Parts: sequence; C-alpha cells; structure tokens
Amino acid sequence: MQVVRDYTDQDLVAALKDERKTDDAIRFIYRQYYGLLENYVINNSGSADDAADMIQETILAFIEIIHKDAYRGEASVKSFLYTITRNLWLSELRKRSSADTRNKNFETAKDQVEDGMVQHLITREYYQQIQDLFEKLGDKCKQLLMLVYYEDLPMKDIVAQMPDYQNEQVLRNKKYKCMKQLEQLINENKDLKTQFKNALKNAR
Amino acid sequence: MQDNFTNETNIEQLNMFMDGDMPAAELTQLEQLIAANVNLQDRLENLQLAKSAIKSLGMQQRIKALHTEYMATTKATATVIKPNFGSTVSKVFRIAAVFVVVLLTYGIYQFSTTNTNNVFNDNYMAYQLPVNRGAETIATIDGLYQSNNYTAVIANFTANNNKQQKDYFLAALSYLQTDNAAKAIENFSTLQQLNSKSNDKYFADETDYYLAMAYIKAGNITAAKKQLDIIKGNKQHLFYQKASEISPLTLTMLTWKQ
Repeated sequence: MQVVRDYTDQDLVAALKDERKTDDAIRFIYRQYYGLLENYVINNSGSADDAADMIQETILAFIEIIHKDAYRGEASVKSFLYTITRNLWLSELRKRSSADTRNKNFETAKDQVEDGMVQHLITREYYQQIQDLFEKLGDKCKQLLMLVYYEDLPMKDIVAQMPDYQNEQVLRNKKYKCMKQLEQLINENKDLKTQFKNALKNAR
Repeated sequence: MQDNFTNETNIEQLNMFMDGDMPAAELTQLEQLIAANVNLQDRLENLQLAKSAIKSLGMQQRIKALHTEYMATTKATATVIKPNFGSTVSKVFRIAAVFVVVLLTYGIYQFSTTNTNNVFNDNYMAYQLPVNRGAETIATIDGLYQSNNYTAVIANFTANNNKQQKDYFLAALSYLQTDNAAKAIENFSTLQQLNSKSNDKYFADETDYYLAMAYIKAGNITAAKKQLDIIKGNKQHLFYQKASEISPLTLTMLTWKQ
C-alpha cells in the first residue's frame, strides 16, 4: 500500500533533490496543487488538456530550478508553482496568438516572469528543440543515452539491460557514437542555438 | 592534436572529457586545447546541452507517468463514487421496495381481516341512557334498557300502541344489541322521520351515529358511509370524533368485499 504523506515546503524541496524520494514528492504536488493550477489555466481561456500540459511543464520547471539551487524559498512552493504556471501559460497564449510561431519561440516576456525564471524558461524551450533532434536518433541510441544520462546507471548495469552489446567498452563506444550523432544535429541547427543565446542575453 | 579536435570524429573525445572518462594523461592537454579553441568550446557546449536536454526529457517522461497515474487515480475515485451513488440509489429503491412490500402485506392482511363485524365491534359502544337523578321512578322502557334487558325493551316497544320518539330510539338500540340490524335501521329511520317533522328533536345526533352503525352491521356500507359523511360534515355533531375514527379506507375495503 502506498504511503501518502504531507510535506512542508522545505521537506518537499529536499525530497525533489533526492532521486529516491522524487516520485512521492511529485505525487504530493499533484494532490496538493493540481486543482489550483488547473483552475488558473481553465479560468484563463485554457482547456483541461492545456492545464494538464502546463502543470507537467510547471513541475518539470520547478524540479529543474530546484536542482540548480535557484529556488531560494522566498515565495512558498504554492506561490512559486502558481507563478511558473502563469508564466508558462501566458507564454503559450502569446505563441498561439502569433502567426509566426517560430519567431516567438524565445519571446517569454521578461516583465511577466519572476527573477531567475526567465533564463530557465528560455533554456527549457531550447531543450525541447534538442529533444526533437534526439527523437531522430535510433531506438538503441535513445535507450542508451537515457540510461546513461537520465538514469545515471553504471555501464555494467546497462549491459545487463541491453544484452545486444557484449561488454561495457562496446557500450561506451556506442554511447560516444550516439552523442556524436546528436551533437552533429545540434551543430547543423546553429540558428536555433544562436536564437537561444540571443534570448538568454536579452533576458539578462 | 588541436587540428584533430576540429574533426567530428573527435567529438567522442569531448564526450569522454564531459563524462569524466578521459584518461588522466590526456586530460590536461585537452583542457588546454578547449580553453584555446572557441570551436571546441562550442562543440563541448553542444554536448553539455544535449546531456541536459536528455536529463530533462527523462524527468519529463517520469512526470508524465506520474501524471497518468494521478489521472487514473482521480478517475478511479470518480468511478468508485459512481457505483456508490448507484448503490445509494439502489439502497433507496430497496428500502422503498421493502416498504411497498410491507405496505402491501399490511394491506392484504387488513383486507382479509376487515369485515363488517369487527368494524362494528371496534366502533360500537352501547348507548347509556342519561340518569335522571331527580326522578323518583324510572319509566318502564328506560328501566328495561338500563338493566340491559333488550328483549324486554323490544317486547315493550312492540306492545306499545302510543310510541314516542324515545321508544323508537331505545327499541332501535335494543334491536342493534340483539343483532337485528334491519329492525334497528327501520326504527332509527322512523325516528329520523319523526324528528324531521317535530320541533322537538329527540336523540338526533345519537340516531345519526347508531343508524350508521346499524348499516355497517347490516353490511350496507354505502348507506353507512353516507351517514358517517353527514356526521363528519358537522364539527359540532356529538359523534363527529367517533365518526372520524372510522377510516374511509376501511369502509372502501368493506365495499370491495360486498
């Protein structure tokens, strides 16, 4: 049976930094704040599906901000999540209302976003573009890179999960090749990176 | 080595550097090359961004899975509520059904046990003549009635050639007491006619009620009901309360059984 527990803001932040406790902490965010955040989106011209997307983005942004130690606890977690959702949703509405979406990719308005969040949101948008490139890789590459960089598993454990590769060295070589392939795709899309860098510069 | 690093093949070495897989012997030299080469810095940055984007994608997928779990739980809760609502409704219907069955059973029992005799017995109360404490002697028919000698009352009444309203009343009551409902009706009706012609109404309210009882005893429920309705139409009637205690449903059941 799953234990349901409550968190203080401090406990929640600590749990989100701890890999083993992250799932329960995210579940808590869902239980505690989903209704609030969903209401915000729905009351501002969004649908329940929009709200679902925004809330997932909000939680992701929140976790990444915490991992970068950029959440200083000056606002409560509730206020902070609300602010992230508001900024993400306003940004999304701006994109939707624009005929030229591509040029609006990095238009997260500085005046609408709290300090420290602008850079994060701009980076998130660039990550999404890299993730689109990542999707172009083969399944083996995607699986391997996820196991290495997200799961952070040692090579010996990955060998057990990917028996097609005889040993750790073969797997390591495969990883380098996959990353080289991805890096090349990024390098071929220099414009995106330039836009990203300019947006970051303007946001400062 | 610097030139080599501009080749895409050596992106692998930058990757090794990023992941801490670079042999210590080559590490310092590579660090110096990166520091001196903007292109290498840019390519290394590409790798670092790729790594961060992959991490972010992993977290995104994890949140998505938890999102699905949350939505499923929410739906499951809603689904649980639905049968509960259904079961509440069905519980209400079940209670209602039991109530209907109980009601029907009671109705059937009432219908099967209700008859003119028990309705009569439940509502009939022998009439007590008022005692005239000042009178030194009690008129013969009154005395016979007070001593519950109903046969003698009837005999006295039959032999009487100068019958008064009071005689008809006591005779009618005595017929009722001796289970002769027809004669009771006949005499109560005669008394009603006499009362209607006379300014001196003798036992009018009593006659109304006991005539109704006589009709019940005789099984003439329609007439009994009509008589009781007359009484119930007058709140000042002496027998208003008594007449109201006889349920119309009981009378209807008696009608069905006729």
